[in-house]
Amino acid sequence: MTTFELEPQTLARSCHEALILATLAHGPRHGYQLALEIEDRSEGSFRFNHGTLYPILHKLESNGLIDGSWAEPAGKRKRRQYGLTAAGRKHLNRLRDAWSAYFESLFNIIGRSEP
Amino acid sequence: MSRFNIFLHRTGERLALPKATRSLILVEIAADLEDLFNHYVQQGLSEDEAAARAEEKVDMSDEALVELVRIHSDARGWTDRIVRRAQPFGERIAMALIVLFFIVASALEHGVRPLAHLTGFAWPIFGILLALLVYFIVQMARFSDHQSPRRLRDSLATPLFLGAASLVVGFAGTGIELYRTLMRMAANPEHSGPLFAKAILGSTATLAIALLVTLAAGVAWFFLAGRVARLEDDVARTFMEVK
Repeated sequence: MTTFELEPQTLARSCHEALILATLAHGPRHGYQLALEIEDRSEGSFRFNHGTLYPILHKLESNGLIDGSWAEPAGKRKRRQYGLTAAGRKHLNRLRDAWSAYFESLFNIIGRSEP
Repeated sequence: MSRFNIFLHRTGERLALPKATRSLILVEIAADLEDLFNHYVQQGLSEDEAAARAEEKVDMSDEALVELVRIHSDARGWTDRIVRRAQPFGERIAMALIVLFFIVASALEHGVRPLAHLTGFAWPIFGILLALLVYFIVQMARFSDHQSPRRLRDSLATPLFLGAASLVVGFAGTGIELYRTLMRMAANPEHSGPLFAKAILGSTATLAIALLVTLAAGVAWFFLAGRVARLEDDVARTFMEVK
């Protein structure tokens, strides 16, 4: 697997990508479900504005990391649903490794809080 | 009428994208707005508060809109404009007549004789033509199979690539053929005239075939891109119907 390093200027975007890909690893979701689930699971630490969500989703889709499809639940409006692709799963693993390494380096410097 | 029509209209005005693409993005946003609205209503907010909260949550900054437009415009905006620009029946007929004129004029002028003068570089060009035919047949089958417009659009680069490949082979072949001939002429100056004439004949015949294959690839792309654009418009129109 190729090494993947986080760039300081794209940390926020990379974090958003990791959150979205990791959430989609549990199964396909709609845009609003993604945002609410990330907010819930992070207990409010990661609040997603949908306005910032669409460009990230569409970019991930154009890069082949997620796959968008239209679903039409009975009696409801058509919805765009996103699922993780095989390439997306690989990319998620690279992001996991990169973020682990990043935080390890960070804590090596700042240390853990003392009891 | 959706309660979010004004919001969606305002967002749509800020999205400088082809109509079909813009419509599909707005349909996606509309569904999320409705879901968020229902979510906030379930949380106990009044309908007005829930609607305002949902709009606030989905509202896109100028930067986000620019990013979205950039993602959907890559190498596509101008091709979309070309294809949609030439939708009128008269323009399509005019284009078909121009192509037909090239083919008929070439055949009337030279008959099939140019084929006898072709250089070895014509073979890869015929291979490209065969690939183009296979691609076209497969694409037409995919159209009748009702595949998603997105998947059909993803494969539209193929005829452009084949057309460019034909041009590259044609021009490179001409260059190499002329170089070889010049080397032969240098070695046999007394046969320079016939050697040069043969090289020019072979190269121009091969180049003409390469150009015709590129033209065919362009026409195939134009035809298929037009069908994909119409399919996208149909999908967008269906999706924009307010439930």
